[in-house]
Amino acid sequence: LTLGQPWALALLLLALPIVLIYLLRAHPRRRQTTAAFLWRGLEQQMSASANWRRPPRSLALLLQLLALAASVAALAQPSLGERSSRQLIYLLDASPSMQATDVYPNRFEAARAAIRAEVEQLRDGEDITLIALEAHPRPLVASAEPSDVLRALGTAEPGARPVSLRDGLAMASERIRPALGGPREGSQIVVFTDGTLEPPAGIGPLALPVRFMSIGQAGGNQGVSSLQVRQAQGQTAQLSGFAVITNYADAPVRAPVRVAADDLPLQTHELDLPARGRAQLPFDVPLAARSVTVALGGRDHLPLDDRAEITVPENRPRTALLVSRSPEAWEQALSSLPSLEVTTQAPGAYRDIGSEIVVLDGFLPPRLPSGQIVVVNPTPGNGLVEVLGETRDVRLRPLDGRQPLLRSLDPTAIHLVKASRLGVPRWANTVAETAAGPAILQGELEGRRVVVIGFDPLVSGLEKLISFPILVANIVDFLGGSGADPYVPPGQTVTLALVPDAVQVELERPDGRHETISSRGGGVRIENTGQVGRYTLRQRLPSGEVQARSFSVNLFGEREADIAPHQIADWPAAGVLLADASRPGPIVWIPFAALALAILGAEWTHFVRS
Amino acid sequence: MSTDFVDYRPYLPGDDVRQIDWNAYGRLDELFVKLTEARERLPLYLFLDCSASMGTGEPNKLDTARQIAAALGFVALARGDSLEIVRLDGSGPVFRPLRGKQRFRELIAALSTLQAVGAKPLDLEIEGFRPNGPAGQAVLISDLLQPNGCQRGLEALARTGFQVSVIQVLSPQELEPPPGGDFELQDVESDERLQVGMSTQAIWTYQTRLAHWCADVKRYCARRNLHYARVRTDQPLEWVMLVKLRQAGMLT
Repeated sequence: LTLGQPWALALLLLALPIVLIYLLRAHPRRRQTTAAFLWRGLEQQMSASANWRRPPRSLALLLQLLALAASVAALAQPSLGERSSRQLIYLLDASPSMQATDVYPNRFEAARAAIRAEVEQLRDGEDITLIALEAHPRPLVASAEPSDVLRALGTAEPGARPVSLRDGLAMASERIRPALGGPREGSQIVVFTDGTLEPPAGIGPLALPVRFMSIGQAGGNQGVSSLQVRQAQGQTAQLSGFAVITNYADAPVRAPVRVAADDLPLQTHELDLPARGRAQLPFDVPLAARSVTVALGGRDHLPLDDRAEITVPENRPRTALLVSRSPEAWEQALSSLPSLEVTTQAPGAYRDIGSEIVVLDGFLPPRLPSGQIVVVNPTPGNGLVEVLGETRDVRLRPLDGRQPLLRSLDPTAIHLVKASRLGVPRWANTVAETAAGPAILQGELEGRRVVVIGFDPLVSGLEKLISFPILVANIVDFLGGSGADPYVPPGQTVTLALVPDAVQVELERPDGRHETISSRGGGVRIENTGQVGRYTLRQRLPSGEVQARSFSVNLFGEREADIAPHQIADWPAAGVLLADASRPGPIVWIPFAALALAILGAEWTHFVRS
Repeated sequence: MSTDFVDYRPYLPGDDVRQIDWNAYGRLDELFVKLTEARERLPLYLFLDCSASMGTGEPNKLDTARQIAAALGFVALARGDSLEIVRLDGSGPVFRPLRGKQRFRELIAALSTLQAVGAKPLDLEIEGFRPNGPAGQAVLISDLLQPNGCQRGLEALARTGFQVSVIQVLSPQELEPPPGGDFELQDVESDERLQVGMSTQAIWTYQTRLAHWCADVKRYCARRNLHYARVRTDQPLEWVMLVKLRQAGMLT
């Protein structure tokens, strides 16, 4: 008999306070009697100390001590055999490519079945950890019995976000239980994957060997890898659409492509796609269209990227308010953006005129305007962002090159003569920084998006570079007149502006689920956009009218779409594994728990009867 | 001694002419003789235990004793008997005798002044009592919870010539003490203190002792030909008077 949780034996010390309670003489309550002579001889024995008494022969005390012992025994997880000294850690790849259907019903289910088959072969007493390899690796069960692992296995779901094998292995490494003398023979980490994951860099051999179980057979997939809609040059009657269809298979294929606007068919094409090549598809879109869909016909192994949808940028004029002492450069950059009407005010004459975008250059009003905000070169003590100091002659460096604010920009080429070192408030995160600290922030504050630029572009002569209008265009795109990014990758949080007097806001997800969501500060944050497809936000107005706005989450990543399975070579353990002589057996905590409950029931009955 | 009218019978020669009802002769033109029954008027002495122990219980024992005394007193006053209330609280004074139904208010007023304050042994109180007139009926209303018993007092009354009845009044809390926890029991009269755990066993032992105590009193009364009745304070007064005391032979 071995104990799975020997620390639980320490709980036996609880017997001491229980006995102490019985030894401690409670100060008796006073009660009047009319016949003390009839009670004589029934009084308790008084000891010399008024506070203590002899241990009473109490059935209740005996039952309580027995219940404690049985509970501790259950918590200690006694095993009829030995607790296995080997450790098994399973990683289940939940990346998008695991939804490929080249094996029935798909790779994820095949991986689930493979794990189930392995676990069912194991005896009780094994130490098994199961980790779902999602965008953020998630342990489903840790140091558990096979039956618990099988139950947890059913809760795993594949996702549409890219995953990191490195993060998964790092988590598995953290979960390795330290063993006396080192890990035992038979211990291993097993990764059930199709091998499309990026090779883990910067992580050396682990304490346990890593075995990669290859899932998947074929890589035939075609997908929409890009979709854009923009104002056609020189045309005002229609928009131009542009799609890229990629063939990830090793053989050329002919794929039917269907283009639709607002779910109405626009045109159908038969595209010849070369092996591991792509084809471009330009098309016209009616000016009134609000969404454009490109869908592939035919049959491939990954349906996730066979359909892409994009929200057409609104063509209506948007308004921007520029508050600046030297507005020329900003005014020029903003005015060059299509459909943006710019109004300029001096800081002394500032008045919130309800513009959708407000650029506050070296100035911050006591009360923030209602629109989306760009704060340029904030002064110390402005009340919005803390200015920690100043630095000179530095270069920008991005924290994440995929940030929309830095699209088509090389921040490292931007030299700043002078920049502020910003503190990062809770509502913001850093987009770019200098050697001294954060320099560009973005975030959401009370339902509005806010961009903070911690330097004056004019001081650094930035307005003379092509980077400046690109940065301004990115900022305006990010702050969004339409409220939705034209391209939303899986998992990205989306913020939509709400009609001020909407009485009910409901979101329909791609799988058809509806949920009522709460709005705050005139905007709504939609998180958990892990599903690919169309999300529709419906706002019910007091008049009963329903306004609907949609955005789509598309799988455009080539790494996720290239589903050709790869066998990853196994990793040996960092050290030598010791022989495992343990004989695992089933844990028998349930009888002890039942006994504890029965004793407690008896104690309760005794209490009630007495 | 008084006479009460019972019936008529026709006059026979030799009858006392003083017994002829001349009013009947006037109406019926026949002679009738009134038959009467002689009855001795016996005074009733109600001994009320006013010791501190009678002030306990829910309902209160002294209140129950007052109600029984008032009911018995009303019967006596209605019959024209002399009624005397003797309070046993160690303070000594005795209410003056009452007679006639019209004194019932006085009886109630006298009973309402009683308080459960005494701590003097009941035996001594009763032994020290000397009636002003002839001995009659004596009714002792008490919980009889005296460590030394009250047989000496009852013996003294019987020796004096009283026809003694005993009504023992006990509260539900005395008969069925509530369980739970440790208590310091304090005797309301002797101030004796005991540390007692109110376990089922302890309560069972107490109830057995109390039952034996009451049985001893009842046996003594039966041996001495005294009427005895035990009354719970939560029993209705009507039931006590019409059933309990009748069964005990105190009322006919």
